[in-house]
Amino acid sequence: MRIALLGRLRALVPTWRFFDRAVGSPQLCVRFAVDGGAGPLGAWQPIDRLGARSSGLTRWAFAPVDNLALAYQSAVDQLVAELGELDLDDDLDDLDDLDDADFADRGALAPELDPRVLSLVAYQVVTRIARAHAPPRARLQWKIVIPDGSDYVLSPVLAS
Amino acid sequence: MTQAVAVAWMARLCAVAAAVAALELLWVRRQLADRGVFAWPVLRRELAGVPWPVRWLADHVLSYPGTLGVLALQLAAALALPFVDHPAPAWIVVAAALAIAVRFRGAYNGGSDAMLIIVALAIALARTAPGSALAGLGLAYAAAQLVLSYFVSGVAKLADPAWRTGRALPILVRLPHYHVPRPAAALLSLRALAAVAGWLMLAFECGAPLALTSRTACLALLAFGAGFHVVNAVVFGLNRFLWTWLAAYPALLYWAS
Repeated sequence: MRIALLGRLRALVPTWRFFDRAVGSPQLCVRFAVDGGAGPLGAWQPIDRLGARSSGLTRWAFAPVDNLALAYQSAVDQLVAELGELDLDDDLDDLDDLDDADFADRGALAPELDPRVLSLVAYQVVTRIARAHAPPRARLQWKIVIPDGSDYVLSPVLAS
Repeated sequence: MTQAVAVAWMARLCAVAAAVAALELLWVRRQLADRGVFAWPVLRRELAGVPWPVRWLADHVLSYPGTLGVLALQLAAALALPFVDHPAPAWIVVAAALAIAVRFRGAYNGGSDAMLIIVALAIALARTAPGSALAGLGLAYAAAQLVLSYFVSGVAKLADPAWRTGRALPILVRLPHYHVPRPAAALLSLRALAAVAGWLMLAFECGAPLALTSRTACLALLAFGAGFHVVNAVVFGLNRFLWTWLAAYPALLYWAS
């Protein structure tokens, strides 16, 4: 937890690395059903297409909505980085020997349901970002797509 | 440029940077509320193991009402910066900007939060002990961080083949979260133009330490830098970087003089 506190003070020791790797970014996508019942979820949509934008004419000076979108992207990047540090693959190899009851006991039906994943602050923030891009009271699901096009994290379907 | 003139210009530009930062967060304040994306009850969980006085302080300062208070204080201090020579407004900007960075797990707007703290700290030190060695050290710190911000960033880019071969900018302008205007994206996707622009950027960033060699070199680099930040603000929407980096320029000009 001390490390978490030190991480929060990183503005005091900036690394000054901007765009040092020209690669795509992980992208948060959501899909939702607005019926509130058991109907199918709609098509996946990247949140960048769903959110509002700052005015093109003034964004060189004042861009609250665009900067909020960048903060959302930072949260997605942080979650991907933190999941990489969790080393879930090794743990999942160990889980191969367990039966379904063991899985249920450990709450680890999938990496996305691992309690360590669910308890990450970044995971909870990303869930809230997804919810902010769906209509009120909609059932929804989110996923993070990494630059090679594959799904990296898929959330459970979240109730309205 | 004298130390007093440098500090006065830093204060004016820092005032804009700090005011814009506070106003932008106040604009989207619903996302900072307990039902919003960046709810304090969620963000505070990482502080479970820290000493209780820190948690107590954080809960009071970084809760939703506390954050609104911090932002209001930052805005008021920013507006006072150009007109009040007392160090208090600058120290308030340092504390408020740091509190906001802590609330957002280290930064809300990346490096611009860090540069805002650095510039405000330099102004605070200069106004706490005007004309002293401490004031000079504050300006030196801001100037050094400014040069480092370009140089480290430039050297880091050199390691990526995409930057060296001119393929970087076409990739970056397609990142959806930057909402790059279509005409700019089309222009920077032209291979030859992207290569020239990319190498210009690398040359500027890697050559930033040359600003310390003479006043002329400093002026030339800062003029290019100002244009660079304006383009970044228009194309990538990095408006906060424009104001915070410009605010550090008088410190470098002072030391280069």
